[in-house]
Amino acid sequence: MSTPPILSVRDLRVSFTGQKGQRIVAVDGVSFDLMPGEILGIVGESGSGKSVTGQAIMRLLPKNATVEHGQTLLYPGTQNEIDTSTLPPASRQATSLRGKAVSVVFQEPMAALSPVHTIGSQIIEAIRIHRKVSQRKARKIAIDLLTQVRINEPERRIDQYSFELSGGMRQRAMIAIALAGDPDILIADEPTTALDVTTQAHILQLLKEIQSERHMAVIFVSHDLGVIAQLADRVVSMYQGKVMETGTVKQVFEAPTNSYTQTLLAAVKGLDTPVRVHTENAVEHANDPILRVRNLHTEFTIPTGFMQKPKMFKAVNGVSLDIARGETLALVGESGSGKTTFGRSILRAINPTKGEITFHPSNGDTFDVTQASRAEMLPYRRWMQMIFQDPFASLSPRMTVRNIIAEPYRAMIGEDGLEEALKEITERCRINPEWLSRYPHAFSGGQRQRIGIARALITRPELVVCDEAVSALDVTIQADVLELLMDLQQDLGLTYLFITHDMSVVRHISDRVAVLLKGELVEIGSADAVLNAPQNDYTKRLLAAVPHADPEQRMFDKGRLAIG
Amino acid sequence: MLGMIVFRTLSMFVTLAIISAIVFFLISLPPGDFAESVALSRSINGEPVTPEDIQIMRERLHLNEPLLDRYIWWIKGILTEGDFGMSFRYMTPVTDLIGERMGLTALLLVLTLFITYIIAIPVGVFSAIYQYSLPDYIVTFLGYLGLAIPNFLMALVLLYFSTVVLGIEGVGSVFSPEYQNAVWSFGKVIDLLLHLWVPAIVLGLAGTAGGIRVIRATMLDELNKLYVTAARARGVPERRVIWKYPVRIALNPVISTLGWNLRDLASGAPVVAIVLNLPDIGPLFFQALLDQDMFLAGTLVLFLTSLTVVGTFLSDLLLAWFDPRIRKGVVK
Repeated sequence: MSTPPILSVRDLRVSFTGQKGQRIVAVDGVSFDLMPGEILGIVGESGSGKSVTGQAIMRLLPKNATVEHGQTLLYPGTQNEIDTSTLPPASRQATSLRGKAVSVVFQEPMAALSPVHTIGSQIIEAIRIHRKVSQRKARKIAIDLLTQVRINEPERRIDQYSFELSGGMRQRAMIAIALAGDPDILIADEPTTALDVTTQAHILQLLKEIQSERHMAVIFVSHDLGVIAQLADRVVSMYQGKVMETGTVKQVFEAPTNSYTQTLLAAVKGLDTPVRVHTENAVEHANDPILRVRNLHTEFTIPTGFMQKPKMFKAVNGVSLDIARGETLALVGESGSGKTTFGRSILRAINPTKGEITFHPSNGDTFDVTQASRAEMLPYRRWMQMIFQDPFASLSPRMTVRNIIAEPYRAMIGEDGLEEALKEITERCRINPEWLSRYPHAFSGGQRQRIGIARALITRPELVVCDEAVSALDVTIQADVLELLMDLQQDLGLTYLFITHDMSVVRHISDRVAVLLKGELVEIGSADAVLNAPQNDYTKRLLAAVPHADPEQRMFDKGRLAIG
Repeated sequence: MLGMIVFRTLSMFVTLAIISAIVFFLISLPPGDFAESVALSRSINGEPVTPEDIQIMRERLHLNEPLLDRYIWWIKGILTEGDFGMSFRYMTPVTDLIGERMGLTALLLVLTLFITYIIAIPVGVFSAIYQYSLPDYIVTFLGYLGLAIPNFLMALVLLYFSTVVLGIEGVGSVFSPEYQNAVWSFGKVIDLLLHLWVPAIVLGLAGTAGGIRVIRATMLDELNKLYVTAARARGVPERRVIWKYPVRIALNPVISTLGWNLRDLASGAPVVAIVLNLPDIGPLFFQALLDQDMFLAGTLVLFLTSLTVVGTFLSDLLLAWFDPRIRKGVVK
């Protein structure tokens, strides 16, 4: 290596002081170099210390964190060499390096932008901190930056607030702010995790272009191996605060030497392979739908000003489909496509505006879901249940695990047979009986999600709506939970409507796929047909935008981006 | 936005109308009336009062007419002639009686609010930034004290302190003797402000302590938000980070409680005014309620409630001006 690195992290150890005064080591002896003009991917699951490493470089650690030892050297070996880890966080020296030497783009652009200041106010501020220019000049530069990050109508956008922009536009604005000080290093901390897959592709492409135009060094932190494979030149894989493996993207993805990296890659590759153990079921029952939906509309009123006519938002706009008994129907679409509203409408968690939904449980009933009153709905609810996305928000922190799981049984069936049902379902969901007397906060995301699954299944439903049921989980845990869901489907004869935005999950588990766009069904068919030979343009774009965990299939290198 | 202002203005008048009715009927609820209370006080003084006297007084004051008629007559007078009725006790128009006193009360309230926020905002921000430091503990402790000490007690303590310990004369009146009957001048205004600080501090104590706690709590929430970190990450100096970003949000609860704060002050004011012997509406109000001096009491309650209603209206407008999310209808 002839050129010196632009940043060198050496034996960095960062610990947090917990509420009871205990020490939690978040980063444990991490070392790596960042070369000028390269994209270094740091990959790892939650708790791996990848974000904390970035915060340490910028001296933006939370108050209860300490750098125990190690260095974060900027410009090592030059006369500008400086170890940021020794600088007091609020010192003039640390402040002047932020935004100029190192900038950062965060995961949640909505949270990272001030809700009460315009985009322009924040960009202009960043410009004027690092360059001695007038307000007027800075505004010009800001508009120029907004143009560079491909925000349309920059003259108008500059005076808008973050809540007036779309998710992708917000992240572009964040990138413009990060570029305002013309930094040498950009830390992108999960910058596309909160975005839709097509938006993600555009932002990744933008980052790639800006990086090569400016010859900027980028640290790209992500849990998503696909994104890392698409973008990074070199990769650092981290687990529990330690570096597991460092190498070029090819080495790491094609011949990982470390066992953790191997597990991680295997989990991702496993997801990409279809299992479809029960395809026969679906075919067999194709003429025996458990749920029949016809011309379903669900609208929301958007409150407008006083005395004005409220606007109608058509979340679901005339969807018709059948769900066959025993199949897994994946419902895919981006945020705002109406997929969650559809899932909730068929369970009458939300009242649909019009349309027909008929439910055919295995006892031979035909039940009209849309016309039923609340009381009439109740006996059928035990056969139609839901598994939620967020394993933290969906479990009451004030109820024991036993009460959480038993609640639907008590509400719909009563106390009779509760103990047996509880015992059986906890066994099936691999829940340790000791957990039952404890509260949800004692459990990890994956464990909580198993509790949520047990709660949904204790009444022995036939149709289960899984709303992004594994999206909040780390990839290795995701694989476990999906496996559990599929075992349960096999054993209990469940039908799943699996709502997700994640194409690899779709590929892994679904028999059929339905694609929603702006509340309308644009394509439905067997998983094989939809995923491998999509007919609809939107489906094609959606699939093309998915970053594959394979550095050989790069989307951005040759400037081609099939998603338009 | 304009629609909202029009709507709020209209609803403000409706609210005031409803309140005026409730007030009028409430005041007449206790047994007896003004004539009886006059008779009572006269007989205590040894002047005999015959039932005929009481009857005559009732007729003269229209006390025999139905309550509803009297209310309508009162409201009509207010709306058509700006006439709030006569005070029974003083036999003068209510407006003449309370004119100057009302001005003093309003001045006192505004001054108190001003002092409250001038102290509460910086102290609250400071205490949040240095959470769990010694100064934070001291401020928090003083805040508890401020909330816990009753107004009248604090008034007495300050009176004692300033007259006996410091030897300042005339605290407990609004003007120094030389300005007592002087015409309004710059000197008189200054003199007034010099005297008003005692009641203002007494009145503002609880509000200031409460304000500090509210600002400290919101600041602690906001300081950990990502947009604050993001501001630091683009190299904004620490002091500017604090005052431009989280403080801006932490002021929201302060602004939105402006109306209530005004009400709390207005209802605490009479007690303080009585203790400190201030010639504002406090003592007058108290006496009018005892006497069942309907129109006087009614007018004063109406004044105090309209302070709350107008205060709330103003704080909503201020909030809309201050927070674009409310102005643009993203948050209600």
